[in-house]
Amino acid sequence: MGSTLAIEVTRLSKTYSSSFGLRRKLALQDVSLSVAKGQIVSLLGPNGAGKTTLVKILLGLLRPSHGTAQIAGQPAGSVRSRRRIGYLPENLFTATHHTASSALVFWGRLHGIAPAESRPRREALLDAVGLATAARVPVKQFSKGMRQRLGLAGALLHQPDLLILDEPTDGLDPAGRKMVRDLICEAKREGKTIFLNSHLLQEVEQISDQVAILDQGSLKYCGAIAGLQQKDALRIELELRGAETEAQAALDLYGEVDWQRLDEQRYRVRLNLADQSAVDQCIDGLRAGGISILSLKQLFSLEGAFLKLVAPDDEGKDSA
Amino acid sequence: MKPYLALIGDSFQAAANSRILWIALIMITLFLAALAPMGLDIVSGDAESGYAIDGLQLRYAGSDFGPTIQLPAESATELRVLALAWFMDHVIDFIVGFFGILLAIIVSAGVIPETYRSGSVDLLLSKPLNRPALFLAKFIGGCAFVLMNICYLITGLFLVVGLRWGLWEGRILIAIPVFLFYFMILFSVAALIGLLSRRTVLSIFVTILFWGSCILVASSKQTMERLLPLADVLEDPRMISPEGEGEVPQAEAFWQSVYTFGILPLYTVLPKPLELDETVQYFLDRKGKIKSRSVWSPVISSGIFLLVVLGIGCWVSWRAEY
Repeated sequence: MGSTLAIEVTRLSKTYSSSFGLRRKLALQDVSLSVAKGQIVSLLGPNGAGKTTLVKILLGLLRPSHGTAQIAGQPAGSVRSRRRIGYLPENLFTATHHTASSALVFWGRLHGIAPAESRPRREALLDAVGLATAARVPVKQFSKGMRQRLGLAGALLHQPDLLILDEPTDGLDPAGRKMVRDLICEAKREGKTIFLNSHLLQEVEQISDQVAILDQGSLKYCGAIAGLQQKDALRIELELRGAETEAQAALDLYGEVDWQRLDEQRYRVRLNLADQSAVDQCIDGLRAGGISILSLKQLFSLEGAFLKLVAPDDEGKDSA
Repeated sequence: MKPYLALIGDSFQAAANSRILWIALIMITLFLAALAPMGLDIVSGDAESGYAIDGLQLRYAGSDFGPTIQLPAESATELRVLALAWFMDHVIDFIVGFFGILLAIIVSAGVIPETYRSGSVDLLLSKPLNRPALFLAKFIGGCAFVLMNICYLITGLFLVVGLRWGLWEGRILIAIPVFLFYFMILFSVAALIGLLSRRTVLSIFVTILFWGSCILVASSKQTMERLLPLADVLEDPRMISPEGEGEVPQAEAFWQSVYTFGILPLYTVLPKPLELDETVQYFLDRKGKIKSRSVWSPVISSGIFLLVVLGIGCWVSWRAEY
């Protein structure tokens, strides 16, 4: 019986060693996570968190120091597991002698698909990623965004069960990003699992069923986005009336604040606050400055939740 | 098997799309065109020389090209074969064996580093491919491309020699597998360095250095084998003057140990590009002057070297993390 999990990672650790083993760097530490089939899961984390290391272990490009990783019940990196994966690297390099069409033919052949067999799907995919008119154009003339689109078409060509996409919208314009989001959602409707590595939290929030947050090699959170709301990450929207200088002075303590002037005396502000006591303090400060609070709304922000999850360690590191 | 054939075809296509290929093809064509007006006349012998056939005269565009070449041949057929051997030794060995191979290394050295660069290797290894097979497929792809060029050059030479000199010697074509083998040995080094460093320029540089080292070791061996017997003569007490007694045997012992513990082991291990042309000569040699053992020994030891280097390449590609 096949596994119900698309990805299963158990107590995975990875340590990089220098050439003579003199220096060691812990990239992943005891990471366990599972991804059910048919889900869109996004991997988040600051730079150096271990996201790329995890993706490379899933693809078999790196070997884990400890622990195991499986793709649909097969050991990660095995030929059988790689048959089921469609992968888009962050910096896709396509040999300069290829056109968009010939690159897809080549990638298809690497999966054992004959050119004639892959033709209808190639044409459909080039159309879907907006490269139908550029099918015969050499890839050396492509912009980064066009290469990303081509890479995405290549990842989808062999009808994989699992898509691993590393920064799929990097270098794309807003229309291109929407197109990629639509393709990802369509792939989900077809029953595919999508494992996404992205820095664009807004996009992640729009399409993901689950997020996994890595920081300094450790898994900080893995689950539904809604679950993060319960982790006290508060984003507040306030509608205020009063002197602007007084309001600004009261809110200066809380870092970055989004200001929107509604009229001479009214403002809408959005800010991130650590917890409920911070909200109370903020309101007390505004009231002490003679500012009227017309409304108060709690918003959810993945960015806020993300920063809250990864910030404490950073602060600790900075102060060390 | 299909994915690996796709890889071989892709390497071939990548090399075929490079500008250097067209430069190489133009150079080969120009060389063949330059050689085409060269004719070969057999000059009749006379009673004094003792041979029925005296020698051969090269002609270029109808004019004599250099003096008559005296060859100890007794018949026109034998002279033709000797002329062919001369041609193989001076034209094919030098042009193909040096410039051709050098050009082939420069053109194909990028195949492996390009494959293993970031963004390319991760995509390839996410496909259901076996790592050592990926390395070997790319290697074979580079060789296939060079084979095409060697075939063009040698077949062109075969036609020129046949049409202009009247020497329709199919055995010239034996140079194709021999020079391909020669190239494979050097390309295996370039591929291994390219795999380890992922730098095309470095792999070209190291390969040329390695090539030079092989020639240096083989030349040193030949030189020392000629000179060391002379030292034996010098060691004879009757040959040494009383003043210099003891100096020559010490020097001889030193060079003997350099030969025994340095040059000879290196020569045994390293491939032998200098000796590979003897293989071509062997197939042209109707009288069997060249012993088959001396021909096959460099081929076998060079083949072992090739297999070892490719084996290391497969192991490195299998163990590496990307």
